[in-house]
Amino acid sequence: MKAKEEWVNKAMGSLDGAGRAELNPGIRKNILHGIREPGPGSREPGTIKDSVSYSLAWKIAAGILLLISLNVFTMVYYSKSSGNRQTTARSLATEYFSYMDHYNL
Amino acid sequence: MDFLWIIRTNCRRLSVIKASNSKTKPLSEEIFIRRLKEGDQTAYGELLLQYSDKAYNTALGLLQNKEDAEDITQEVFAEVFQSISKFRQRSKLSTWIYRISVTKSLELIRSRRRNKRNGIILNLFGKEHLLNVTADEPFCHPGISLENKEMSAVLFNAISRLPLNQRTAFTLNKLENLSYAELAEVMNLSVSSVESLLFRAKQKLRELLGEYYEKNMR
Repeated sequence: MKAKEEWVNKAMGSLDGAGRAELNPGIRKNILHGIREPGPGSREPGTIKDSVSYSLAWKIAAGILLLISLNVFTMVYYSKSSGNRQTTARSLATEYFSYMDHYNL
Repeated sequence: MDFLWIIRTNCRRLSVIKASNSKTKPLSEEIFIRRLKEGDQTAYGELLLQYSDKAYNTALGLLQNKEDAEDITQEVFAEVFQSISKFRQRSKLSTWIYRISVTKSLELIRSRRRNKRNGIILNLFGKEHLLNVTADEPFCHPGISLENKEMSAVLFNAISRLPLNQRTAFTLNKLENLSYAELAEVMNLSVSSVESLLFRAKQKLRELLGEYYEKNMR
């Protein structure tokens, strides 16, 4: 038990006095080179990010598709369930713009 | 006038001056930041010389991989270059750079874990190269002395099993020698939260090391 405690204490202290790892000077050169000669994809300092990433674009497209699918599903379900009324694009438009009659437009 | 009264008054005046000075940043850092914002290329060189090792060692301690740490260091300074004009100087420059290094390192760790969880799906689509699964190789930090290398490798393995916030606090405290106050600024926590994190990290590490001892040393 004592040996275990001593070993654990020694392990916990193994980082004491650890020196710093030095960064490869080649990496510093690369960083400076990237700053001094920015590549085609890089931005000027402080500029606003004006491009959308691919994953974000796909997520937005998937969201729009989901909304459209939900709307179509709702319309189809609504038209099937309400047997008396035939929902057509014309009747939907008539209903939607019926508020204009109230204002004699 | 009483001689002691004079001494006491002057001591009080000195402590007020000292307190007010500690709240303001040194003028040299303000000028340096202004030069960076103006795009002074020499200033960027100086920035790299002063802070690249800090960023690299932070990433190395968290990621425990030399190549990953080098990549992250490059990303950190690209981010610093891009965002320097937005730097409000509410904290020291070193605190800001530490914060970016920690954020980017933790982002990489989280994305690797996500990829591991999505491993089945990636395999189905032939994207298994994104998994980047490597065997758990013992990590030898270049700054550790030879006699402590083996033991430190075991400790680093245990550190990699800590929750990310405990891992960050312990690594920065042990390897970068950041004080509790500095850690609190970097991690955006109170000093008491940092103390609690470190206490729990050490407790957990002792537990993991004890288990290792039971398994391998007996």
